[in-house]
Amino acid sequence: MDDVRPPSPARTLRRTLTAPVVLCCVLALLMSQDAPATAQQPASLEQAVKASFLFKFAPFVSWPAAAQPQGGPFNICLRGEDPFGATLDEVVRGQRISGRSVSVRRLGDNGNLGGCQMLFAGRSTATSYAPFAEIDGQPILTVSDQKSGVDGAMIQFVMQNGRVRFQIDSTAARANGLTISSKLLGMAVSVDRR
Amino acid sequence: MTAESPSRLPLSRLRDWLTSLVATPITAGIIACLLLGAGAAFAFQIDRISRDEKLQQTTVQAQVLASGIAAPLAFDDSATLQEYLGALHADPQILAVAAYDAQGGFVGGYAVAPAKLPRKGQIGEPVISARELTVTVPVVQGDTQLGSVYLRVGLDSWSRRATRYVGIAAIVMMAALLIVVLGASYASLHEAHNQLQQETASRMQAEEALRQSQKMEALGQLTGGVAHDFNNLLMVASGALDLMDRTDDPTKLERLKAGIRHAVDRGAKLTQQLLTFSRRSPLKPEVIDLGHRIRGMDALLDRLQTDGIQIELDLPAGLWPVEVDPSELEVAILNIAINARDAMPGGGTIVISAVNQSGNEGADDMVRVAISDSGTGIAPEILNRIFEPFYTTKGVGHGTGLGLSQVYGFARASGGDVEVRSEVGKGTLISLLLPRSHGEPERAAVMPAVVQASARRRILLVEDDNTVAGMVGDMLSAIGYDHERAVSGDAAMRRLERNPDFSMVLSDMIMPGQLSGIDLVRQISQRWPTMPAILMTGYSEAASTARNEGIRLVTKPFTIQTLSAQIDSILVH
Repeated sequence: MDDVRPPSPARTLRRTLTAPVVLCCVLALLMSQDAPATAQQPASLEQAVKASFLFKFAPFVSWPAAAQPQGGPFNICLRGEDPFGATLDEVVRGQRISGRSVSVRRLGDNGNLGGCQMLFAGRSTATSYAPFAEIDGQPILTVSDQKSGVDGAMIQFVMQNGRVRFQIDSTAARANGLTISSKLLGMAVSVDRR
Repeated sequence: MTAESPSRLPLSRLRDWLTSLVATPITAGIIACLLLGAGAAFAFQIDRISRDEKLQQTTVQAQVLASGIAAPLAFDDSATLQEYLGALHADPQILAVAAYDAQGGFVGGYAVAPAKLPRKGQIGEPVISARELTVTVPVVQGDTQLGSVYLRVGLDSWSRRATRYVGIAAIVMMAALLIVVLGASYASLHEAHNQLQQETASRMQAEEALRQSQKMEALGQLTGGVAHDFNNLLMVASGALDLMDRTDDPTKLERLKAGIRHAVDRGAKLTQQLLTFSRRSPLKPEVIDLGHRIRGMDALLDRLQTDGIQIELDLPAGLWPVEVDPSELEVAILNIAINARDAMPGGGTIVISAVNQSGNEGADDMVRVAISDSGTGIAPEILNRIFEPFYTTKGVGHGTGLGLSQVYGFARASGGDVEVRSEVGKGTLISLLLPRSHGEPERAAVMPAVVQASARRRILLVEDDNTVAGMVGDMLSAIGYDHERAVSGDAAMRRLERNPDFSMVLSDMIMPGQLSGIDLVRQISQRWPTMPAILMTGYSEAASTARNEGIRLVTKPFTIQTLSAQIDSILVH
C-alpha cells in the first residue's frame, strides 16, 4: 500500500468538503430555481451528501424491539418528491442495518407507511400534503429538508456555512419510542428547536 | 575415628556432604549463574508482558478513538474529527493516526516524520515490529461500519528498555557477586577451620609430649643419684643378711631385720615416687596439703643433697590447702631445686619454704612456695628469658631448657604465678604463688593394723610369678584366709567354671595367656556378679583404665596391712 503524506488540516477541509459542498449548493440553488425537481432528476452533490446522511442516521438511532420485524428489510420510505434519485439506492446498496438488508420505498404523496422504519418527506405540490400526519406515535424516524418547506420531522436538514447539517427534535423522537444517540445529537446544529 | 564412622547418622553425613558441596567456589559460581539466568528470564518475561499490554492498550485507545469519531466521520464533520485526532498530538508515543471512511478513503489524520500514512484504510491484524506497533480498528455504529482508524505507536527501543532493567540487573549482579564472594570466603574459612582443628590436635599432642619430656628430664637428672641410692639400700640389705647368718643374738637379729625393713621401705617409697612421677596422666588437680606433699618428696629431694648441697624445709603448720596437680607440683619444685643445685657448684643450702599470703585489696589468698639458693644468681639481661622453652645456660647434654618453662606453665595453669628475684653472686629466690583452695585436702590413709580374717574364706589367687604367688599366699594364710592359686587368667576362668566356690578373686594385672587381669575381672563381674575381685598391680597404663572402670586395685608393692584392709573392706562391708 502506498503511503501518502497527510495533507494540512486547512487543505483537507477545502479539498474534501468545502469545495464540493459549495459547488453543489450553487448547483442545487440554480436547479431548484430554474427546473423543478422531479423523481427522476439527477441528484446534485448536495443531495448525494444528504442521501448518505439519511442512511447514516440509522446506526445512531435505536428502534423499539417491536418495530423490528424479524427477517424483513430495513425500509427507508420516501414521500412527496424524491430529491435523491438513484443516489440513495447507490448509498444503501449492499449495506445492512442491525443485520438487515436495506431497501428504499418510494411511496408517492400518500403511500402506506406500513413497514417503514424511516420516512423522508420531500416537497409536494399537493395542498393537502401532510406526510407525517398518520404516524401518530409509531416508531418511525421522520426526516425532511428545510428547503422543501416540510415541517414537523424529527430530523431536518439545514444548510449552514454552505455545509449540510441537520437539526434534531429529540422530544418528538422519544415520544415515538425512538432513542437518538448522543453522538448524533452532538452533530446537530440544534436540538429541540421548533 | 574409623570405629566411629559406621555408627554416624546418615543425616549428619548428608549434612557434611552438603557442607562440602556448598563450600566450593564452583558451587557458588553455579548459584550465581543460575541467579543471573533467572534475572534475565524474568526481564525477558516482563518485556513480553509489557508488549502484550502495550498492544492491548493501543487497541483500546484506537477503539475509544473510533467510537468518538463515529458521528463526525459519518456526517463529514471534519473540524470535530480533526479535534479528536489532534488531541492525540499530546501523546509523544503516537507516530501516526488517521481516520478513513467506509470506502477506505482518507478523511483525516497526521503522521510524525518519518512515519507515513497508508493511502487507503484497511482493517488488518496488529503489526508489531522492533520499534513500532500498528493497529487498525473499524469505526462501527450499531453494526454498520462507518470507516476505520489507523494508529501507529512507537515502542521503546531495546536500549531504553534495557536501561529500565538496569536497576534490577545491578541488584541481581550484586547478589550474584555476593554469593560468589561469600561462597569463596566460606570455602576458605572451612578449609582454614579444618587446618586449625588439625593443628590444634597436633599441638595438643605436642604439648602432652612436652609435658612428659619435662618430667623425664627431671627424672633423668635424678637417675644417677637414684641408682646410687638403690645400691646403698641393697648394700644395707645384703650386708644385714650376711650378718644375720653370723649371729644368733636375738637383739642383734632384731636390729638387722629392722635395718633391712627400713632399707626396703625406702626403696619402695622411692620407686613409688618415681612411678607416680613419670606416669602419663592428664592434669588432675586435687586439693592437697602443701607441707605434707613437699615433705613426702624427701626421697627425691635427698638425691640432690650431694657435693656439699643441703636442703632445708621450712614448712609451718597451718598452710592453706591448694588445688593443683600434685605430680606437676612435685616436678616444678624438683625443677627449681635442680636449677638451684646447679647454680651452686661449690655447695650451699637450698631452702624450700612456704607461707600463707593473705590477699588484700581484692587480691586472692595465695600460698607462696619459695625456693632459694645461695648460688651464682641470674644476670638481669637473661632474667626475662629463663621461662622460655628450650632456653638454657647449661652445656649440651646437661639441660633441655624445659625445666623452668614447666614451672611457669604449671603456675599459670593452676591459676597462680611465678616470681623471680636474683642477684648475681648472691643467689636466686623463685616463688610459686598458688591460689588458696577452700576444699579439704585428702588425708593419706593412716597405715592400719593387720585386719585378721573374721571367718575362714577361700580366695582364688591368680598370679604367674611363683615368688610373688608364694609371698602373697603366705600373706593370705597369715591373715587367716584359705587360698588356691591359678597361674593365668585362662586357668582361673577354667577353675571358676568348674566350681566357683570362692569368696573372692585376687589377681595380678599382667599375665601370659588370652586373659589379662582386667579381662578376667570383667568376665567375672558378668558371669558371677556377686563375686568380688581385686587387681594387684604395679604402675601400668592399664591401672588407670581399671581405676576408671571402678575396679578395686591394690598397688604393688603392698604391705600385709594394706592387703588385709582391702580384703576385709570387700568381704565384710
